Amino acid sequence: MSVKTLNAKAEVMGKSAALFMNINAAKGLHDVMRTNLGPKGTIKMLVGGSGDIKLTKDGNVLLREMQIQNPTAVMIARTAVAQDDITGDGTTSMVLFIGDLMKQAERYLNEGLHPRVIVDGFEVAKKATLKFLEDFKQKVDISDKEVLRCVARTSLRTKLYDQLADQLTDIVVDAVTMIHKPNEPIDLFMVEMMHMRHKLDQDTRLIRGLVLDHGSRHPDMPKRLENCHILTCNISMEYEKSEVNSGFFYSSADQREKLVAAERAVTDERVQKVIELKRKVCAGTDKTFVVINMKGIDPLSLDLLAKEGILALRRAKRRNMERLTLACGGFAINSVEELTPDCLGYAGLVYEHVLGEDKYTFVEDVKNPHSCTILIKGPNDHTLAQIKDGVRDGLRAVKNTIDDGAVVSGAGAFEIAAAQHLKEVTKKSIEGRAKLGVEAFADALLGVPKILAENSGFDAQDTLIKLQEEQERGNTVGLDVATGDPIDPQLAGIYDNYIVKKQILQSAPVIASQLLLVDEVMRAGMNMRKQ
Amino acid sequence: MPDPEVITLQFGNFANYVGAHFWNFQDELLGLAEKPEVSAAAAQINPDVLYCVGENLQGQQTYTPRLLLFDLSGALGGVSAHGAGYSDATASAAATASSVVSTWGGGVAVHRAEPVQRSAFLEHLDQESEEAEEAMEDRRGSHARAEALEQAARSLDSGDGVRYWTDYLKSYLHPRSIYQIPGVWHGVADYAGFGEGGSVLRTDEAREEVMDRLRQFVEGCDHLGGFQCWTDDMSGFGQLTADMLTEMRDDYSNVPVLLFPVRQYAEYPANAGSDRQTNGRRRWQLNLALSLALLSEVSSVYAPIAPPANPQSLPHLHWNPHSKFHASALCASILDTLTLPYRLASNPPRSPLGYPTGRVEMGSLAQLLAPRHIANCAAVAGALPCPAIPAEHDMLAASDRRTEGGRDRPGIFGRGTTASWTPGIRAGADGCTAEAIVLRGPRRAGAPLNTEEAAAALDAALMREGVRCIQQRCVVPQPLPIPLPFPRIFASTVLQFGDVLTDLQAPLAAQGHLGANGVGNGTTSSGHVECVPVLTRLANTAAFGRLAEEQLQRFQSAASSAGGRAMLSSWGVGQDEMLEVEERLHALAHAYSGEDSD
Repeated sequence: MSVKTLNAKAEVMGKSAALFMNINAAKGLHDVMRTNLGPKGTIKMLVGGSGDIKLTKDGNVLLREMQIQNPTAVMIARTAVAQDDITGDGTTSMVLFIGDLMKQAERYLNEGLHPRVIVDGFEVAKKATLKFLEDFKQKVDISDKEVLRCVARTSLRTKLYDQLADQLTDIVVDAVTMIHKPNEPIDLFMVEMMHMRHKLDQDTRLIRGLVLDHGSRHPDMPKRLENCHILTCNISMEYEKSEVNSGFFYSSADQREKLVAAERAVTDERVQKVIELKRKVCAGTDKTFVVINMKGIDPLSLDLLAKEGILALRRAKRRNMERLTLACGGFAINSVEELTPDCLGYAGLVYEHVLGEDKYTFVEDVKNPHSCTILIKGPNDHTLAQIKDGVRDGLRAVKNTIDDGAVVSGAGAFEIAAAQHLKEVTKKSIEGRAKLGVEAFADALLGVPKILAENSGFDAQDTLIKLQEEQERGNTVGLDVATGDPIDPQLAGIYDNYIVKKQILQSAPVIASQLLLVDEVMRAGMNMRKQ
Repeated sequence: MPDPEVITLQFGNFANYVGAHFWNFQDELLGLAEKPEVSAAAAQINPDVLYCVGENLQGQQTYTPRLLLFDLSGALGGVSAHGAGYSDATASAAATASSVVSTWGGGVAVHRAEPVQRSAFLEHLDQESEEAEEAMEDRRGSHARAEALEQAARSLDSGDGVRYWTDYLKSYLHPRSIYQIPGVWHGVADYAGFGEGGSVLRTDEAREEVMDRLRQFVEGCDHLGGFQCWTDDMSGFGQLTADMLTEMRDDYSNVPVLLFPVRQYAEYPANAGSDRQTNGRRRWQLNLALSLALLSEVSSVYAPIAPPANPQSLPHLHWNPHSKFHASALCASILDTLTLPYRLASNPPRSPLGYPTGRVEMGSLAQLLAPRHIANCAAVAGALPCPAIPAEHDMLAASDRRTEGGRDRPGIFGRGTTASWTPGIRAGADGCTAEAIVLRGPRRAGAPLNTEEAAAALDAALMREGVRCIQQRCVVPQPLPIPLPFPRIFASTVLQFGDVLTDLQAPLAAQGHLGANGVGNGTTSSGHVECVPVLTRLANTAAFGRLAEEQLQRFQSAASSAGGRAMLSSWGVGQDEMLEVEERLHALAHAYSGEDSD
């Protein structure tokens, strides 16, 4: 106990106590998260101390809401959250798999097996399973929208009720295919998510164009324009004091006024240049002109623009500069010198929608958009948040599929097949007690189909046996959560992301092994103890 | 042209404590502006600079601060994050699970946290505003309720009266104003290390959400004058502030940022066990150095504020330094006064005491205090309450006494009147290159003094100080109004309107003789102070050069220990970043010492 010698106040936990603590923490998280899993899991409604409500079926959100203090649980939660960052899904599965690995390990530990042996087995099993995944995954043609729909639906149905999930499926798939340019990485930020607290969740829709969360700031500006040139720019149209004249060093009021006038003239000139371009491209046609500016436009400038019938929006998001040009064409400019007709984009329709204090500007009816907006509607904040979480995961699932060019059969099919492979092939290929580790790993994999069955109201053991029997006949089988019978996931269109599975298989055993190999837990540092 | 708008940012729990007091002051001013007899002085301060008009879901008009605040999850106590006035009937906790969950067909598991009681003060406040709407039925009832409200306000000051800053916040906030850091819980995480907040804006999504909220306030401004920020820099919010301000520099490059790190303690509070203390002290040291190095770099002016460590430098206040409620009230009083120059109306109404002088836009103020970006630290000094402005002949007499010495240089209007509020900087430190002075609600001989005379007296006093530097002075008739939920920190030497009894007068006051003298309108303070005059000075001083040098040495020694290195690396501060911090501190020290030699 050298730490004790060095620091008399350090608390040290022995080997068995440490192991026990780790296993319990993993099991604790497992217990909280298990009811979440799958299309029949329960949603969690969290009511905070002030009565604020949060709804979630997302493991990631749930983990954040639990005020986790146990260091082991924190470690597991971090791994799971990292999983979400990388793949956008699989947080719950990650926590459950780690929990199941620890549970299975516990059985053997109780029989006196050394953790090292189990960990060695885990390592072998992990490699074998990853290899098995490579063979098991199905290559798909990413131009086949039906496959993308299946993946999106599988993801959405675990977060939202079926009808809404199905409606969002098309929205999500269309959105990703719209922004996807061949041979370029998909940037999901080109799908804007805008939410409106309004009406019902079924009113959620895809806008082929852009919705901005602000409107004009001048009463005389048009509220609706058709056949519009769109100018996307990053040019200050606000009176700005030049840096040299800080306001202290005027020798007279007259001089001050002259300076102000000169500085104002600079701003006016910029606005005038925009107006000139508008006149040039619109004169004699039925075309109209919209300015969307990232910088400010002050009331005097707005006035000048309004007199010309121009609709001008100020302080647009940085990201919208990119989205606008992808949706409408043209390019964003940073100075009036760059103003040419070429830089203009086009939209068939631009209109403003007012909802209480919030204004929205719709830029619609654009040609060949490479950016779009999912307009999420719902009656209250927690519904909006939940739909948003679901849509986000759906988008990630479609993107992952396109990136992977492959999918994995869902509904527990992979886990059942992989477990069988481990038991029948891998286990036989190795010698000694590491076999037990492989065995534990295989049993842990079966945790997912078991929990799916439980959450759907079926007996876990019975269901698992049914599925395994079917599997032994050489079929790929998953669980039909409605009947409890085996189904073919391909026929049912249940697909998971390859990258999600792969990530879980890579990370979970590593964490589980680390937790199993902990010899001592010491509390001496600054971070471990709550102050 | 309307006055340029200012957006406020509050980072961290203590900053929000300060903010709650700050907004209470604003709320008080809004109330005063509606009272005919005092409205002119209050209306000279333009609330539109800080507030904006909106509309809630019921279609009622709202008037809320342009504010974005950051705190940990659960730091709002019993107050909903959705903002009162914007709440929505279906979202009440009483609603049943099935009526709330419209997006899921399966089972629902409800997890209810223990409800947090709202403070009695808030409850009474709500009752009162409800009744105000229903029109007052009988006067006696409303009087009794006012009494109850006062009682509730007083109870805030008892032992654990204030548990959250929302317990005493009177102002309504816009729901977009409140950002609670997901996954980090108030009371669970201690979050005391500067770097711990580095992960908050790590993801694109979080960054966009936060910047978008800010952008929506910016979009509503016709002419954005600048950002004023207070930050709890001795915590994880320090790094968050640095990250946020860096982002803001990209989007709003020419907009000035006044940054006021606010601290409960001026020095490391030594009260924990010895073992913990080594770590705590080291962390404090690292926090200080990182704050000075990183935060001064991303702001236009960097001016830390903490109540003076030595209580004797504020002889007319009795406060409990371990109470966040008290310490934050002190910081907020100074902040509210400091920020007056750019909050004044450009076309103010005339008050009986004249017009305010010295209105200046935030950009100009920043430029005055930090003409060169590298040396942009400013020291805060202040007199709370500001003593009576002496008449000309008294002042001459006082100037003789000033040579007496003492730890701080004598204050501008007599000894001990302007204490240093910036940790590590002594009041009246030499090497001042630029200074902004604000005097509000000046009084002489128990009566308010008009601005012209006050300005003349202030100028004369400044002249006598003999400091040669650019000075900007601002004199405002409106004193600092003391709201109901302000802690009772004024000593018995402070009278109802903020008159301060001198050492000679004090014993008389205790015996109740003063009423006859006519000082303080015949009322001694029975704990009830309505308003106080305040004087603040914000100065760019070479003392920061020495401070930077000191911080550099301490940073190096703290960082060279294994514990320090481990702490830094857990915050994501590696070898390269450490070198950058050292370089920045070195550059700061050098920038000021260069001025010395001129």
